[in-house]
Amino acid sequence: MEHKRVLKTGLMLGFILFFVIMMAQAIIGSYTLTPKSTAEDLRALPLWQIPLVYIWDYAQHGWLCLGFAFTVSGLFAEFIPQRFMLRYMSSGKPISYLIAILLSPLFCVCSCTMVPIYAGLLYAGAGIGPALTFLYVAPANNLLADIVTIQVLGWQIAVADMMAAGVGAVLIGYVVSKTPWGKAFEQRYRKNPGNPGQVAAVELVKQPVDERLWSALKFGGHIAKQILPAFLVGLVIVSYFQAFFPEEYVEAYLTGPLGVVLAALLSGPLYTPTLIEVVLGKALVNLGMSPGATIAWLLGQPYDVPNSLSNYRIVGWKIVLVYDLLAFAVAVTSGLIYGLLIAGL
Amino acid sequence: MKKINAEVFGPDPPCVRCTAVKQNVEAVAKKLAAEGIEVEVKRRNIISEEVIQRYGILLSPALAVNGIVKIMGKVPDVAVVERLLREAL
Repeated sequence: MEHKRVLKTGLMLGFILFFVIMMAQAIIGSYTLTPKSTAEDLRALPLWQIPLVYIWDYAQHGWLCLGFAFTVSGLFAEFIPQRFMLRYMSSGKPISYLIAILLSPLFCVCSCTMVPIYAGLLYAGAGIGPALTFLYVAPANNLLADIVTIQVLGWQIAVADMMAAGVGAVLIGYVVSKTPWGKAFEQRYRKNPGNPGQVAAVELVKQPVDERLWSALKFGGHIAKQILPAFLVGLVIVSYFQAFFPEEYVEAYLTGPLGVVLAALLSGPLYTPTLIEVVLGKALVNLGMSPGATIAWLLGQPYDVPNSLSNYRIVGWKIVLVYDLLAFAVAVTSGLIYGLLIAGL
Repeated sequence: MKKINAEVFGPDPPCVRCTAVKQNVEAVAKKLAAEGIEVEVKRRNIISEEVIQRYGILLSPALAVNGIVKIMGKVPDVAVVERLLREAL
C-alpha cells in the first residue's frame, strides 16, 4: 500500500513540476503563448475552417498556460489556509478589506464557492463592505483569469487590470457600506462576528500531503472540465468575430474616451464565461481597440446580468443597483486613467 | 444500532461538486448499512442564515458528521468519507 502512495505522490509532484518548469521556461524565454492568427489570415480560409485554425492556433500556444493555470489554481485552493482567511475576512475590521483583495482571488476560482462565501460573510455579520469587496474582486482577479490575461493580453494590461480591480473593490465595498441601504442590511446581521458557538461546530480533519495533492489536482481537473467546453464554444465565436468584424467600427467606437465608456457598457451586462472576455478582448485589440478601452472591457465582468440577479436575491435591488453603477464607474475611470496616463486612449 | 448523522452543505441549486460529495457519502452509507450502522444523509443549503450562524462561513461543498464540519471546500474520495464516518462511531 505504501509503495502505491509513494508512487502516486511522485507522479503528482512530477505533473506539477512539469507545468511549473515549462511555464517558467516560457516566461524566461519570452516565448509567446498567445494565438497568432490575424484577421487577414482567417478571412482567407473557407468558413468552416476558421474556428478550427483559430482553436488549433490557440491550443498550440495556450495548452501550457491553461495547464499551468488549472494546476496552480487547484494547488492554491487546497493549500491556502482558508479558515484563517475566512476568519479575518469576517472580522468586520478594516483588515478584512485587505485580506479580501489580496488573498481571495487565490482560492476562489469556482463560482459555486464564491456565492456561498459572499452570503456567508453577510450572514455572519462581516459587514456589507468586505462582502461586496470580496464579491467584486474574487471573480475579477481570480488566479486563473489573471494567468490567462497575462499571457493573452500582456503583463502591462493584466497588472493594471488587477490593480484597478483591487482598488475598485475596496472603494465599492466601502462606499456601499456607508449608504443607508447598506447600513440597514448590515444591522440585521450585526450581532454575530466570531460567535464562539460556531467555532466549536467546525473541526476540520488534517489530511496527509498525498491526499491533499490529489485533492488539489482533482480540483484543477474539475475547473478544467467546467471551463473548457464553454471556452471552446467561445473560441469558435471569437474566431468568426476576429475574421469578419469590420475594423473600422472598432477603430471608430472603441478608441478614445467614447471607447472606454462603450467598452464598459458592452462588457458589463454581456455575460461571458471565464476567460472568454479575455480572448474576445484580444480579438478586439487585434481589430484596433485602444488600451484604455481594453481595461474598461476587462472590468465589466462584475456587473453582468447573472451576477446581478443572484446578488439581487441576496441583498435586494437597491444595493445591487448601487453596486452595479459603482462597478461601471470603476471600469470607466480605470480605463480613462490607464488610457490617459499610461498606454493611450 | 449505531447511528451517524451526515450533512452535506452546498448551494441551491446544487453544484456538481456538492452532488458528488453526497453521492460518495451515500455510497459509504450503503456499505456501512450492511454492517448494521445507520447513516442518515441530509443535504442542507449552504446559503442559509441558519447554517451560517451555526457553522460560520463554509466553503462549499462541506461535510458535517454528527453536527461537526469535518471537511470543506473539496470532494473527499469514498475512502476518506468512510474514514470520517467510522471515526465518528
